[in-house]
Amino acid sequence: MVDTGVTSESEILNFDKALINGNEYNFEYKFLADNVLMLRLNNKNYYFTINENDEEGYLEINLNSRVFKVIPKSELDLILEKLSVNKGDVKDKKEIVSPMPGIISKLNVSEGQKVNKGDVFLVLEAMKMENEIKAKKDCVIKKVNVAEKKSVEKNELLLLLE
Amino acid sequence: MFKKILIANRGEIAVRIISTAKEMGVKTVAVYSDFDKYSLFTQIADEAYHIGESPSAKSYLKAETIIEVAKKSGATGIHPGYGFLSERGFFAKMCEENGIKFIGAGYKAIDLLGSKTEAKTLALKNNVPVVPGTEKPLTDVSEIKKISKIIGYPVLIKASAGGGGKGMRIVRKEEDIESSLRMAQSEAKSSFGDDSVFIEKYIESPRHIEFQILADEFGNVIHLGERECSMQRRHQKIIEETPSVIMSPELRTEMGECAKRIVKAAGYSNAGTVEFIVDKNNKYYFLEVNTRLQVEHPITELRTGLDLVREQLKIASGEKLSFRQEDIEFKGHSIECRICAEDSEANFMPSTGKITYMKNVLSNGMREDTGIVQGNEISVYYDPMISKLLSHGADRKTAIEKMKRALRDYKLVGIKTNISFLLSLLECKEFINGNYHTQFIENEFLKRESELTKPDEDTAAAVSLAGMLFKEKANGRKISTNHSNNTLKNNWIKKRVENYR
Repeated sequence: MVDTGVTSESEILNFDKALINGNEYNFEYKFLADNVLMLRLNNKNYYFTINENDEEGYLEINLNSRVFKVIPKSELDLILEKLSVNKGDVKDKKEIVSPMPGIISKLNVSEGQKVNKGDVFLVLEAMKMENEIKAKKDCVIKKVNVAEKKSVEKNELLLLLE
Repeated sequence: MFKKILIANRGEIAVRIISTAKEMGVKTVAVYSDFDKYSLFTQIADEAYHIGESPSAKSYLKAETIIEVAKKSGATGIHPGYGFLSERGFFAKMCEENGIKFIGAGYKAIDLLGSKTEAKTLALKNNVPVVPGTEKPLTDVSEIKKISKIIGYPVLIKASAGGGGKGMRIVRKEEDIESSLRMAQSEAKSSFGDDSVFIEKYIESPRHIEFQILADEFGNVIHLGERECSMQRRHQKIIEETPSVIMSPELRTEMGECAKRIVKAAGYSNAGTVEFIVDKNNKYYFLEVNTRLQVEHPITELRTGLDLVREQLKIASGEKLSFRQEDIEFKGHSIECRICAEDSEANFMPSTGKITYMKNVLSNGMREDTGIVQGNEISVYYDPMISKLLSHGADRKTAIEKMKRALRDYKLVGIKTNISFLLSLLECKEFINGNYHTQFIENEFLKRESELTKPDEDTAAAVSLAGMLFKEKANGRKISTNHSNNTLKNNWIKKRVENYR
């Protein structure tokens, strides 16, 4: 569902001309709503809907119900990127927060417990569905902030990892 | 016919029922929770009454309040839809005691068929096959071995107090009985404090096939063919179709007659669904009866040309069925896809929020049943189904292609949906060949590495430019006023758009 490995360089040359990956294109466009874009590129029609994922900093660009995850970068971004040292894995999250309001229907972990990637930390019941919150990598539980049957709000801290 | 009915439900099914009632000249009364104050179904009904807070226990499940509203408004019938109070015998009984017609089965039939053991006994009595197994709890190893041999392997050992997969073991050969039994028993003992077990034949990779039934109050019963509902995840149906690819006219008649025998024996009236599981050799076993209108009923409507809600209202108002079994004609092929507010890529986590843009292209005979319009919120209070998209074509391939076209054209902004997941299911070879079963999604499909198809050059260029134009617009908004169109030219002269992962 997600495409990989494609990097494009685009430059808008004029109001109706763009240079993308070395090819010149004519284009017309109109935003039908804030997140809805009708684009005509060399007379081919594309009808996009776009969601911004602020947390992870990418755009989800949906074309014909197929989702492309895109990180747009300006020239300045690229220069800054080259200057900065390799920052390593910054997405290593230590806090597990509730993705939605609900009730903790099952708690599988306790403080100090080692957890393997893919194990279920806890089950969150919301919208009549049970949702498993799983470990994205091997980790150790530092603190458990919730208990079974407790209701939680969106973004409430559930667990702290070491 | 009723002059006025109350719809004890919400969302798409309330919209569905209200539509038919209005077409028949029947006035409609909606009831709503805090959350649904301005929902579509409350707008299109003739009257609407507030019945409580958003959680369903404080509104849509308040039987007494709903009956009071019916009386106050002068509604003489209550349609329960599906879910909520639809399969609660006590509610049907309360309606009757208050002189209100429950538009569904009688409470005795609801209670009888609602009990799994009683329904199974009824099926056996009426020569309808059920999954072979023991009726009494067992603990003795030699007895369990003896019975397993008669049933035939593989068998399923099930804790009698069990649930949620605990205390369950599949046993494929006799040597494994003792160790599996010990494990199942210790799990059952620690979880439920009871170590007795049932033995049942284990049906591998079964299909879920159900028959739509209509029964009037004079003992006339007909079936409207089957629905194949094997595309499920965690027992939630996702895609349904009719006919089933495995169905022959002979098997349809045979299973349809079984379904009719059960509901007849239960003294059932109104619309209902008899569910079966079917094994690899097309052997079928009765599962249960759903004593209500099903979510997926529209695929049967598309294939038979009947309006099931209309038939329900006619039956409940004491009319005889106006057709016989041989009058039912099945035409073409029909598919339903359930569009849900969930993130297919994050373990199907429900997605909540406001739908800021919603547009679908229902041309060329597509049907959509929904209670949602642009601007609505998806809340945590109710189930995450946004819409049922329905296609009908001369044959299966046409119906699939129509559905794919409509899913691709469907635009929804503000929440995550399973639309791309539905598309990938429709495109997988197992679905195309009709070679799938109830465990297919969980045990096979979701375990596959997703295929990484690169977009062609023009598409990649369009996506790249779209990202840029979007950023540009966002940027423009922030800087606002003193920037004209030059923003486009000056601020983001050279940008890089990168797909990652």
